[in-house]
Amino acid sequence: MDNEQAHVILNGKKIPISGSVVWDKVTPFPDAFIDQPPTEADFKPVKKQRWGSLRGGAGVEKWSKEDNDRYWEASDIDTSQSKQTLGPLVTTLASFGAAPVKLIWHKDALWAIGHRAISSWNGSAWSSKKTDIDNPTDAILYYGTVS
Amino acid sequence: MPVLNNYPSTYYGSSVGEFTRYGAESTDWEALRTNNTTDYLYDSSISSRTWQELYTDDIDQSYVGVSPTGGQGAQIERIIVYARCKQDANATPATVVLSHRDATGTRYESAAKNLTTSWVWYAEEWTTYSSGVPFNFGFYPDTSMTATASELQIGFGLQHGTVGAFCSELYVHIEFKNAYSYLTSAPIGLVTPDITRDHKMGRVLTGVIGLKPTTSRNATYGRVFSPIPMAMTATNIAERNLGTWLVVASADSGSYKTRDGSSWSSAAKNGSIDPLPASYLEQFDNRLVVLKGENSGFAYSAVNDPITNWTNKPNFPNQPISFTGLFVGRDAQDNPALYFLAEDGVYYLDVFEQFKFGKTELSWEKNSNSGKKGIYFKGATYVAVDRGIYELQGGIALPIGPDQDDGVPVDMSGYVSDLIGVGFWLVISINGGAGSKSTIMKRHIAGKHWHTVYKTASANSQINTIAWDNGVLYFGEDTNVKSMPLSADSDNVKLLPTYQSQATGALIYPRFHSEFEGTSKVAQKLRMVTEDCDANNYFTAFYKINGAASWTSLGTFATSPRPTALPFGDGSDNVGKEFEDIQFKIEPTRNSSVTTQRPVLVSLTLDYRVVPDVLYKWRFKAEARSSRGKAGQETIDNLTTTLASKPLVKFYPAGDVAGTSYLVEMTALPHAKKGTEFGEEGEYDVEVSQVTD
Repeated sequence: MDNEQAHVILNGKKIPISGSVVWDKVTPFPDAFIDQPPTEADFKPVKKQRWGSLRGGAGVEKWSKEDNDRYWEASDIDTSQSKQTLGPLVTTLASFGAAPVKLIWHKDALWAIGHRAISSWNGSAWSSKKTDIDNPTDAILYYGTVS
Repeated sequence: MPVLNNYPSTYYGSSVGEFTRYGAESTDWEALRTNNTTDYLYDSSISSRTWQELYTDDIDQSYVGVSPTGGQGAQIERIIVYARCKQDANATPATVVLSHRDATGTRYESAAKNLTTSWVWYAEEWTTYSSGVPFNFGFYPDTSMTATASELQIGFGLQHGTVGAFCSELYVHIEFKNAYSYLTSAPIGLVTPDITRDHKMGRVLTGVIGLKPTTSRNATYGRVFSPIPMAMTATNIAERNLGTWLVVASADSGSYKTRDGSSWSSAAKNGSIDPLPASYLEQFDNRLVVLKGENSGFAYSAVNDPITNWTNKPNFPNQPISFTGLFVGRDAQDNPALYFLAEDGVYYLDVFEQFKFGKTELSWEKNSNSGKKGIYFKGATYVAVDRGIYELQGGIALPIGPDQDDGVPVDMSGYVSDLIGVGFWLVISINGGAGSKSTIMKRHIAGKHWHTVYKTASANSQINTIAWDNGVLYFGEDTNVKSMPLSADSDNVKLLPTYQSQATGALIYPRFHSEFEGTSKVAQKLRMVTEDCDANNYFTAFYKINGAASWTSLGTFATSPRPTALPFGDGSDNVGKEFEDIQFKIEPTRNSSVTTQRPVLVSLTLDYRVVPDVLYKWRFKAEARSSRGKAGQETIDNLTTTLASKPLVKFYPAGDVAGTSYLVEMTALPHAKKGTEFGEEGEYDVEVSQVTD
């Protein structure tokens, strides 16, 4: 048996002691009484972080408890409901050939307006309607006299 | 300008014998007058081009309402020959060439046009016989049915690859000028043409021109009112003359209007200024209004009349800045009001009487990416301002994102380029420019934040416009037009069996520090609850720890409802991964050949432990007794001083200053109080404890 320790040094002073110094580990999470049904927070072996509905929307890079229904970013995911699934299928309508500045429904067809390119979509192909209007900026349907 | 659609009446040449007629018509050419595809001419020849040319019905001034004695009459400004054709089957394409002849018999031909296996209208426009030679075909008093001077020869020629070809209908669209030259003589002159027009309209009804839009109105009119005096026609003319125009504005070229795309004319014009400058369009108080692109320039049509001369206000509004749009909203009294957008804010326009303008509460520093779109939707005004959107309601302007909170990832930063209302959702496009991806996002009007609908695969795929119709969202991306389902039936697409989805996607969660920031944590397992997962429809999980540069794959979730949890670890030892913050990316994958299948993510759960550094506490019995010249009270004083100390104190549990020290607080000082001659002297049970590492 080791010789009994005579003192400890505490706050710069020697404190005579009898017996040994007992070491123990500080418990960071003391037991607590629970008077309600247990939740995920009461689960002991591990902690649980659960994301369910993300209807809160995009734009939160750092998680917080208050924003647990939000996410940072998504592509091709529908997050607008309580469950997430793949986003809508995107289809290219053949080749229009110019950067569209306006899309508008007219005569039961989709019309695309671009630089020197105004065409209507018949469901399977573009039909060119005008090719000499430079840099269009806007388009509108107007109901008025025709002659 | 007056227009006329005229169908063939007789043969021009003798080539009709090379065609076979199908249908019930009595002669070959009559098949071409019908508006169906069961009567047609068919040519099975595969050699040289075969022609079918015909005279049109008599064309004279009566069709355009002009018969002044000795008048100059009308001139043809342009003609468009239409033919509805197709070929037998998919093979080397057959072609059609459209033609007409002048009064000397010279035939003018279009370029060859490829046929398809479907009935398609082919058209060719001529504004001159040949370059620099205008039409010499004019109208003079002549009602002959045969005089060549009043008829036009049109035709088509078919040439074949390896298949036969058909033509079911042929006609010519004629536009005239100088039709109303007599109107300049005197107001009384109006009477004569009105009467004349009535007389000739009755004649029109005996023809077949009612098959085409511009003439079908005449036919309808005639059926109802042909026996009725002309005095009644005025009201009906006004009603029947209303129709829908597509009007396009160009910063460089003014504005142009069309009914069906086959012919275009200036929209905003005023006297000799044709067209007027026009960059932006809006309808307000039943007038079509245009705004120039910068500084000043405003014009408007008469009520419901985009054709006659417009009113031009070239110096209004006067603001030395670029304008970016026009829209109709509501003013403070909830009355419809016209606004224009500029690079520095939203301005009201008090027009048609006051011609004043001014800034609204929505203004900002000049920014060329701001003010791209404004709309009034569900009782509020929404205006795009660079990366964000203002919502104006009841005089209160609120920023509603999508650049709020932590903004958006840098690879998808950009400005809001378009904004529409769909159902109860605001839908926007964000143009990422040359350096970022472009996106489409949506926000429920009762919600607070935005959801990504679509993100381009790469940067410089700019989206500038979006439109929605009957459950489909259309948008322009780079030089393409694309579409996606955006259902009008249900916001919850998971419930729609016909909903088609992308093949893959990515969902990135926030960086998770937990509530124990600054404290070590260990990720143990990632769990998921799913629906509709199988070997073809599954999720792949990735994670990043402490902002690592790249994602680490954790594994896949490929069953439902509770796939096997994925452990964190090194190799085969799933001991966990320590983290300060951890971030997850989930990538769904659907069956590559079935677009209506897709996995559904119900929830994602991280099992983790909070593992702070180990803290110690110590207990010992302090001997506070006087002994060998050392007063026990001194030890008592030392202990009580330490107990009262607010800062932590150093503790050497080994009693050796050369040993390890710990910063502690005294947490207990129970006194054994054994009662000695030294009063409080005795044995004290002391406990000291670390409170932090």
